[in-house]
Order: sequence, then structure tokens, then C-alpha cells
Amino acid sequence: MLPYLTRRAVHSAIALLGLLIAVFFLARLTGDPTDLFLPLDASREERAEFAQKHGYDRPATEQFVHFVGDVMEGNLGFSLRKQRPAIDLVLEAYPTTLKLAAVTLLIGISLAVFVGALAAYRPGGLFDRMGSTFALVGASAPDFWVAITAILFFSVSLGWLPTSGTGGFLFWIMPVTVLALRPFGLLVQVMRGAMLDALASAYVKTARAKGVGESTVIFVHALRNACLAVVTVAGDLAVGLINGAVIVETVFGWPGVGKLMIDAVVQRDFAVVQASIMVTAAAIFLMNVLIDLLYVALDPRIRHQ
Amino acid sequence: MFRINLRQLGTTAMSVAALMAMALIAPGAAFAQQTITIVLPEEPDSLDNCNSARSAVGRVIRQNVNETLIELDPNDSTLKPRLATSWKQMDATTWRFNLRKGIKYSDGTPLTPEAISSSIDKALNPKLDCNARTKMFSGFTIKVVKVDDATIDVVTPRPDPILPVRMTTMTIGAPNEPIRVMNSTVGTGPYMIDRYTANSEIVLKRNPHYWGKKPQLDGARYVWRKESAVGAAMVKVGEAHLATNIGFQDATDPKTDFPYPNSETNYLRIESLVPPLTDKRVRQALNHAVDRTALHGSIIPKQAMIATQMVIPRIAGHNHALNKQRFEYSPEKARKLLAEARAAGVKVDTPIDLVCRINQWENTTETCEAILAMYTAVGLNVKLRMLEVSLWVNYNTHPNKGALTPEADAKIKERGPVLLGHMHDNNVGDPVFSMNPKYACKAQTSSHCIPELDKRIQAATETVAGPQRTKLWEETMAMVHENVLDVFLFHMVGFARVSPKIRFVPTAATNSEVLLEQITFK
Repeated sequence: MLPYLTRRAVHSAIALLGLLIAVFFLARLTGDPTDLFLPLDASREERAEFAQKHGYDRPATEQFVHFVGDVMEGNLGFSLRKQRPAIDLVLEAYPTTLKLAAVTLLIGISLAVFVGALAAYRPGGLFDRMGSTFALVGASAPDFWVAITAILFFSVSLGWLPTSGTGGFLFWIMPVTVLALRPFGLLVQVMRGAMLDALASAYVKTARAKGVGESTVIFVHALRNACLAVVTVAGDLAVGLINGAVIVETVFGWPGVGKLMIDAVVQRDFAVVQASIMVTAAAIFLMNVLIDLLYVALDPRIRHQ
Repeated sequence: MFRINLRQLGTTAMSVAALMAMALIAPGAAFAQQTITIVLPEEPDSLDNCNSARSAVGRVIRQNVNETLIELDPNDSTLKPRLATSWKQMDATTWRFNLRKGIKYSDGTPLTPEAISSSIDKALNPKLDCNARTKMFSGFTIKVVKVDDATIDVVTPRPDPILPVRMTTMTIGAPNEPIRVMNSTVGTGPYMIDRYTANSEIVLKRNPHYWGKKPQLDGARYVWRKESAVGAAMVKVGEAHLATNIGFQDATDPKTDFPYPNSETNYLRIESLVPPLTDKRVRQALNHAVDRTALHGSIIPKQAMIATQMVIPRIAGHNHALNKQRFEYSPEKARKLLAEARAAGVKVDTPIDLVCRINQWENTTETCEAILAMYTAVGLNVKLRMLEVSLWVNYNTHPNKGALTPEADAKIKERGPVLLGHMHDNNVGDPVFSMNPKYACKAQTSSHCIPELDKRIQAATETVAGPQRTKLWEETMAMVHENVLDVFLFHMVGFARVSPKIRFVPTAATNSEVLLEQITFK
């Protein structure tokens, strides 16, 4: 296992370096922060002074060498807007994103596995039709529209839930539900397809022929194998969520890393963009390792390979 | 043997339920009745008082925590005493301010001339990027000289007849404040920072040392929601008392949603130095072709006012006579003017770029698309480009101003004629902050150069505030109109949602400051 993890770490470090180089230069292609930071009527001299002070007047390659030197010293830069170390801003925002992603995935996957498995048990039945329709709607509905509509309905019209913000259990309901809709919709369809394949496979027929109980056939034999496909897709969805749920974070006022990153991109706060990407890339690396380990736990054949 | 006591179990369950219910209550509900929650459209970048000229920062701290020497009345643009009780010009470069006596900062230290000098030095320190300097004191420094414990002289390097107006944006912080103050600031205002939870909330509480009349509110909690609909919903359901900036489409309840003039004017800036826009007939046609009344009330709020000049009516220098001379919508007239220009050899078919900035005002895209259709209808060859701010700003800075290099000239020729969708905000109360950057020949954000207008702007700039200055500015407005230098659209409005539980009247200043001392519970 250790050689495997080492190999993955080396590959990820190379990918991270490539990503950083790409982000560093691409970000600078989008424009000079001077234009956004200073008032529109700022003089040419003021712009030149600002650019010189922050090093934006130097060639991008020189800026990159300077940046790499700082990273080697553990300094990921200073936020232009917030005037604070960029890494502090990212680490403050990240727990919110991780909590939101974890709860969303837990609920989304659990419900999807349950609904998908039951839908596949009687294909074409009422539950299958209802589940598939709901899953399709969930996977297709735009987050932004669902979020605003949910606030107007559950908070303004019914008064059941707080509109936005962070706090106790009630504050979690709408953001998590809105965020879980799409993963749920996708995973139900994946689960249903995988379960149909599993239920039609030879080992399930053999188990039934041996007189194994129907619940054991579904939940032990078929479900475990069908879950491999769900883990693959859920891993992909999880990567998207730990990148930050920008729309949900923005609408519900959740201070996560997605919102931080988008604001930083819009404001050309390069240090924050770079720090966010480095931290997110590290988190994605860890997530991928976890998914690999989960594969091994679910499928002994992979372990033997 | 362990026995379950049902009564005990029931009591425990009730207690747990009660605790859970308490935990679920919104944080705002824990506040006393005299504390309000305000929803802002964005989180302040910092709470450093030297950045209070930036709206996001000013809405929280300006006059609430950090006060200015002089205050600008947003209703009539008059100057009112705040930390200074009076002021007068001693000579061309010296203004004397008499300070209010007995003022203390919220930490108990006295406000002294030295403290004011230290705070102003920080705000104007070129090593820092304070908004106070870049926005209002661009290009010159000021020096504070102590006369006695209650009097200071502010000395400028060159005559500045409107220094008191500039000082309305200079908030005073504590002496020797650290170079970078992020999460706190100390001031002399009626409130002080209680706590700042980054990404979440800012809470203000009373300043026990405040010199003025004790305001009714005990404090305020600020939260921020980018989505206007969410801010409006928070006030609607009682989670907040005031949402300062809600969208036109969310201002649906006349009982709680109030429009306010936000000192912004949107317009199309004409590149009058580039053919065919050098021709006055073409510029007139551009104005006659726009049906402003069709936009008004449909995609522009009906409370906005059709504009004929750059500054809003409350600013001294706004030429009220021009409001009766606005360009009527007449496609026929536009076509006729273009035909005349064409007959005179002007290449009116030259492609013109209409460059607008995404989300510069509400419904920017719709406005620019509608105008594009109007221009196409009269036969102009206009192409719309909707740009993000960092690309749009390249058009805003005129390339052949300031540095008349061959490269700059080549750049402007390559760019061709441009109509730049623009929105100008002058909330300071003097046209100097509008007319110089927009029309002076050497200004980098001006796309015009009319020597006579340039002289008039210079004369107005150097004239002391008063009737003569007002008259000169009115004349410059008239000259811009006569020369048809821009396509003015609307003096815009903002909307605030105010809870029925409080009294608050939004003003032209609400975009940049929200004075808690003016808010009371009913």
C-alpha cells in the first residue's frame, strides 16, 4: 500500500506543479489587478506606481520565479483585497465547504443507493417510474433557480426555515437539499443501471438457486457490486463539491472556498486564486486516495491485483 | 435493577427538545430589541478607516465608527460640522478647522491635532493603497499643522477651493494606527466595533465616550448576501431590518421598498476624437435615435430620471435648464442628420463598437441590446460588445491622453470609433469630480478635447465654492450639451427594503454610508 500511495503522491505533486504553472500564467492573461483595484479615474502615474509596488509591471516569468521562491518558504502570498495572507483566507473558508460537501454526499449517496436499488428491483414499476422521474428532475434543475425558489417558498411563504446564513440544524436544510439534488439525481440513475446489471448476473442467479433469501441477494450480493459504479461517479461529484459549491454558497451566504475563489478570480486577487487552487488540489488528491481505498474495500479483486 | 422512569424520561426529552430548539434559533434573535440587523450586498474588504471611501467599508464604519471633520448633507449637498465646528480659508493654500472640544476615541484617548495629523498621514501614505488617497486626494498631499489644541490648519501644495468637500470623505482614525488594520478600527463615532467574524458578520455596539446625542439603537449587526432576492427576503421574514441594496426586480412592496437617488448617471461615452464621431451631426443622431422613454419603467426603474448631463440635480452646478432641452426621440431626425453628414463626406457607415460592461447597472445587457436595435433602425452600423470589467476598463482609459506616443495613436486608430457604456458616480457633491476626468483634454478617462470647454472647466475648478463656481459649472454642462459629447441616459436610483419596525429614510448617501444614529425603532 505504501509504494502505491507514494506513487500517487508523486504523480499528484507533478500534476499540482503543472496546474500551478497554468493557473499562474492564465490568471495573468485575464488582466492586471491595477485596473480593478484603483478607481476608474486613477491617473496613469498612480496605476504605474501601484503596478510597480506589487510587481505587476515585471515580466510574468520574473513574477513566477519570485512566486516559486515564496512558495518554497511556505509563503503563498498576500491577498490584495483583504490585505491578509492568502492561505489564512483559504483555510478559514475550507471547513465550511468540507462540512457542506460531506453532509451533502452522505445524504445524497445514501438516498440514491436506496432509491436506485429499489427502483431496479421492479423495473417499470410505480416506484421505479416515480424515482426515475424525480431523479431526472433533480439532475436537471438549475441550482440557482431551485435555491431562490426554495427560499421564497419555505422561508417567505411558509416561514418554516431561515432564508440564509449559518447556524443550527434548520440552516442546513435548504443548502444541503439544493446541493444534494443533482448528485442524488445522477446517482439514482447510475445505481439503478448498475443494480439491473447485477441482478441479471450469473452470481445472483446462483445465489437465488441456492435458496439465499431475497434481501440477502439484493443487499449483500447485488448491492455491493453495484456500489462500485456509484463510488466512481460519487468520487467525481465529491471532487466537484470540495471545489466549492459556488451557487449555493453565494445564495445562502455560506462562506466557503468556492465563493472565495470566484470572488478572487473576479477581483484578480491572484494570491488567493493560487492558494485556493493549491489547497483544493491537495484535497482532491486525498479524496482520490480515499476513493481508491474504498474500491479495494468493496472489491477484493482489485485488492488482489 | 435499572428501571426506566417514564416521567423522568419525559422531562429529559422535553429539556433536550427545548435546548435543541434554542440552538436552532437564528443568531439574530439573540439580540436585544434595540439592535438591528442590516443586510449588505458585499462583505467589507477590511475595516481600515483609510478605506472608508469604498462603499463596502463606508456603509459600516463611516460616521458610525470613524467620523469626518465635515459632513456632507446628502439631501442638498451642504456641508455640516462634525468633528470640526467651523472652517475657513486663511489663504490660497491654507484652510483652518476649529475642532469640537472634549472629543474622545472609543478607547478613551482624546482626539488631538496630532491624532488627526497621524490619521491623515496614514490615509495619504503613498506606500499604502488607501482608497481615501486614490479616490479623493489623487495627485496631491496635504499637511496638517497644529495651531492650538482645538485648531488645525490644513495646507495644500496648490490652491484647492473645495478642500472642505474633499474632507467629507476623510474619516479620522486613531493615532498611530498600525499600517494595516484589518478587523477593527477605533474612532470617535457613536458606535465601536464589538466583533468582526470574517466571512460571517460584523457587530457594532455603543461607544461610551461618544460626544454627541445618544442614538436610540444599542448596536447593529451586519451580514452580507450577494443575491438581492435573499437580502429582500431576510427583511420580509423579519431576519433583518434593512437591506440597503436590493434589485429593481425585488422591490415589489411599496410599503417597505424605497427608491433613493444613488448619485449615479449612466450614459454612452462618445469617442468624439475618432471619425465619424467627430461630426456633430452624427453625435446628434446618436442622441435622437435612443428612445429613453421606452427604456424608462421597463428595464430602467421608473423612479430613475432621464439625464441630460453628468451630475445629478442636487449637485450645485447641475444645469436645470438643460432638463427642458433633452434630445427628443426622433428616428426621422436621426436619419436626416446622418444623411446630411453622409452628403458632406462623413463616413457614417463606419462600424462603431458599442462597448458595455456586464452588470454595470441593473439590466445593462438589455439596455445596450435595446439601444443597439434603435441604432440599427436608423441605419447606423453598430456592433455590441458586452465585456467583463477588466476588459472594459481598457476602453475607459483613453490611450492617447497623457502620453502622446506613436504607439498610443496607433492603438486608438486600431480601436476605431467606440460608444462606451458607462456609469458615473459622484456622491461627493461637486462637479469637479465629474467634469475633470470626463471632459478635460488631458484627463486619461476623457474621450473629448474642446479647448474652450477645457478652459471653462479649469476656471470652475479654481473658483471658490459659491454662486460663481456653480454658474461656471452650469456653463460647462451647457457646453457639453451644445457640443453633444455624450448620450446621457438616466440618473439612476437604488432601492432599500426597510422593515416596518424601524424608521429609516434612504438617501443619496445610502450607497456609501448608513448612519445608525438616524435609525430608530417605531
